Amino acid sequence: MFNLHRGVKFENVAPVNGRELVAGDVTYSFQRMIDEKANASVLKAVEKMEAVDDYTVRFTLKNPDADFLWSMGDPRSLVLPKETVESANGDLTNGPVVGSGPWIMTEWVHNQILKLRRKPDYFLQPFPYADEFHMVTVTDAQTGQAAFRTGQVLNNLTNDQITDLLRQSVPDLQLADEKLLGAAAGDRLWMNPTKSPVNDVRVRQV
Amino acid sequence: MTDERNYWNSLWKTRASRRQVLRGAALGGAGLAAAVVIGCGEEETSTSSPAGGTGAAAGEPKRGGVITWLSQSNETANTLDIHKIGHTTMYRAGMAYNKLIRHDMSKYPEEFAFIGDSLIAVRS
Repeated sequence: MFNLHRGVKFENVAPVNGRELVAGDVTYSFQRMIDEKANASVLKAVEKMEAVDDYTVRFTLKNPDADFLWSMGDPRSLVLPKETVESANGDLTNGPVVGSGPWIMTEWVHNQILKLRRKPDYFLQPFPYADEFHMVTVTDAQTGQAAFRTGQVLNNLTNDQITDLLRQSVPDLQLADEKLLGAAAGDRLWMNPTKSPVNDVRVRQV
Repeated sequence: MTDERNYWNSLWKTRASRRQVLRGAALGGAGLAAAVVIGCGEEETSTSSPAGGTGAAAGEPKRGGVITWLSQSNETANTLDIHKIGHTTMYRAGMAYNKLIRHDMSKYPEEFAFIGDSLIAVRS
């Protein structure tokens, strides 16, 4: 069971017009997530979802699932308003992107740039601190290095070897806290299904 | 391709004064979530440091500013529909949406809480 905060509002633009996020938005979004299949595996344990009232959502699971709460925090478990889906005839390929999150999308060019500005009435104040967030997308590492060297981006996703090279040309280079990245990437244990005992599907299921 | 070149040509015209690098091979949504709460000063002012970071020039964060974040991707899917494609769409459109709860990475790796802070909901 989840109890929603009061006063969480969507962006104040049509067709949603800044209305409050309610339990029905959660069940609608998750049902669409299941129906569209691409990210349905996140909710594989869910048997039933109910909006008990506007601020209460109850999930019934098919079986005990230790990963369920992790799934609720998964980047794919997002809540959107159904009005946007209806206004786009069921296909949000070109938006509109109308959420209740900390950022408002202002520009998107595929594989180039995403621009967002802070949502001034975000329910979780004082976040976000920055006025805008620009995600610069590059399709190759060399362009990314150039963008970093010339100061057009604040970060660079790289390895130790490239970092050493950057030290030579960027004297004020700072290394971010690696915990941030470790947490972002997560820790995973992978099985090699070509070797015993995990080549036995029953072992992997256990 | 022409559009892309034009975009980068215009981008090169200005320079920022800060340099930061993140080491590693991948960046997930949680990293972005952490990044968005970094306070940044004006674009041409002094250096800033990520929250909890190790930058030598760390100072008092200032509200405002623009975060310019690099993402390397060559995504063929061209959509903003968060339910029709996987993670990369989450990174861009997802920043405008909310989840019920979020993972708590604040004490990682000493403590890794799967069930994190409440976001728009509290579990009961």
